[in-house]
Amino acid sequence: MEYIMMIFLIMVVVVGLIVLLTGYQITRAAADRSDRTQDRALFLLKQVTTHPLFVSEEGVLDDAKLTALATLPDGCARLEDLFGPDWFLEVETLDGPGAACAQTNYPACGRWELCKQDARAVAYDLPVNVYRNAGTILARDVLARRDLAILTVGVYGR
Amino acid sequence: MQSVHEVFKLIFGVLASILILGVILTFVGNYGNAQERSLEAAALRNVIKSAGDVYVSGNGIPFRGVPNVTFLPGDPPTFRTPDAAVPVRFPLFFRGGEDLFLARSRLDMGWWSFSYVTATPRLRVLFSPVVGDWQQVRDIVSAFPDTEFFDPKVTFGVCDGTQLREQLCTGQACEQRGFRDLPLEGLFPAVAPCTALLPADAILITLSSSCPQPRGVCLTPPDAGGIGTLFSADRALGYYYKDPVDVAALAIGGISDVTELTLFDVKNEQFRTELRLAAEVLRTRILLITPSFPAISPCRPDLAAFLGSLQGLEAILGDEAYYEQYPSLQALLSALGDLRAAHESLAAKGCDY
Amino acid sequence: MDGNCLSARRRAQSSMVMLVLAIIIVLGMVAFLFGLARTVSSAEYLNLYAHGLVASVLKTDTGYTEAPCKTVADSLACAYLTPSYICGGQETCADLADRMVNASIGRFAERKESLRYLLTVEPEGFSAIGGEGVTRVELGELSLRKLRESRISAAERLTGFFGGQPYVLTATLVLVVR
Repeated sequence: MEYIMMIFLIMVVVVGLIVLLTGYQITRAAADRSDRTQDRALFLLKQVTTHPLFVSEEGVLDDAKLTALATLPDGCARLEDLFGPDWFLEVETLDGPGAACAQTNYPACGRWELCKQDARAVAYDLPVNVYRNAGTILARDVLARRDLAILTVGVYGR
Repeated sequence: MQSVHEVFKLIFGVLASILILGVILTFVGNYGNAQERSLEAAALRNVIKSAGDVYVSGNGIPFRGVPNVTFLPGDPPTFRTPDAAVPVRFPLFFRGGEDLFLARSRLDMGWWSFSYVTATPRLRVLFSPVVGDWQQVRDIVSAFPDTEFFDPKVTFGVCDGTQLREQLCTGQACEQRGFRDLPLEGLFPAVAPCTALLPADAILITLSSSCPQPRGVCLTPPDAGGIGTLFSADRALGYYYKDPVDVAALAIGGISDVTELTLFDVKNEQFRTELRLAAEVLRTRILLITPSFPAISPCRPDLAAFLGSLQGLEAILGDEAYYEQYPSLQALLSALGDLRAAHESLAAKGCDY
Repeated sequence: MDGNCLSARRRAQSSMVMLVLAIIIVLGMVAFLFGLARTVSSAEYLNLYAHGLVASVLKTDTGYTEAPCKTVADSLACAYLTPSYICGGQETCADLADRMVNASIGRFAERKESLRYLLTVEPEGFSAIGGEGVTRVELGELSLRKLRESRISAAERLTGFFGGQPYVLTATLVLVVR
């Protein structure tokens, strides 16, 4: 009888070990998926601050380019063709007008949103500058200005 | 003499042991495979992450221990392992190998630059310029990575008939800058078609007026419009090429057995997608910023010229097959030339960055 | 006979106890291994944030258009080299630098709780005295200089000309984010 009990308990231990290791693998797979999402969000953050579609120079986003991207009819789809699906970006200047930028109110605006959805996302903020093409208008010239802003880039999904 | 009961216990014990061992061994086998695949997937993600970092930073790095992956040109290009398929969302020219050098290069058009990452193992790029256009050879060399101070190396040389001439830079193989700075016109006044036996890590690029049976990659010189034809040993039909990056893409990537696409096709599709969006964004940008310039500003005519050229470019790139049609390529090169000139004028006058 | 039964029972009991102990050890390993769930290193992001913060604050325009005061970087260099220079007839560049840096980084501190900073401007290489006896410009929490808590730092170079001579200064931002 003791032998049967012992074998039963050994089987319990073995099955327990199997369940433990399988559970560990599942946890690791979930952590890997989360890592991949975070890696992608960080990569997109770096891409947005360096790609000429968005910037005038590294770390300085061009307000007219952002307005153009935000107001293109299929802007989000075209960006997804280049950078992949399920991500968004937001830029908000810290000072000045806070209205969302459209072609009608440019340059008296200070917020841009691209590909925003109502869904869970992993997002990162980064301090950046926004190049205001029409910063100061003089009699014969236009002087650009760099304002401080915050860039948020996120990837949807867990 | 053992009693029946004890024999039963013995047999039961043995059977139970076999069962337990069987379960353990099966699980260990499966777990071991899963761990191996998990490590491969992690290594693959590291390659792509490193390549992505090179793309945004521009700082080249060596990468050791690349897993055994298949790179499939496509839309988007994908790395495949038995368990994972990871898309690559930036221009990447990948050639397999255990140790790679990752570097970023740029095609600078003045008003825009198209960046791409090359991932190359040890490569020996050999030129056979039967038609002696050494400036074009230098341009093509610039499209390959500069591996100075790094390993694995990409070196450059000349195949002259049966001879491989590689130790051209003070007795050593030349890297990008060293090869470009050589007085190639004087060193090689005439080059015979390459018939030498090529090592496994060599890529042969032939420049000739005709390419009947190309070894490696063969190109005809560009015509007055800047367009030439490009042939690969793997494919019967040729391609039109318009810039040195087209040549580098085909030379590095070859043709995929699975998708029958080449890096040349992928590069041109990514080029089109990026440039078309860029043209539209910049056109809208010009429309937005022009009203803020005073009416008497000297910038306004140049802004208008730039705008017109952008509109022309958008129309050309609307066709997916633009890179397979000579008239489209002619129009594209003309539009890119106009844009470069308009942008230079804007920058010279301080109207734009 | 009784003795044999008793010792057999004791052996069986001790075996049971051993097995129960083994199960408890296994359960303990379960808890331990699940607790090993990996935490993602945020060091890369924090470094990116610190570099982004210092670079963007330095590039920001102050509102003045004259060269020594145009950007925050210009005003910091001015604060080191000629701190009493008056910008736009209104304030010294030292005051301007202080106001702009505190306002800019303060806006980010509003978003990121417990963000503490120290911005230092000093020459690269050997120390040298700046204009009007200034050895170093420091803005923010001076106590962070000696803080032993883990901190992130990011540096940017400030270059330009002063009195016809080129200058090279380093602006170092030290951040503590809890």
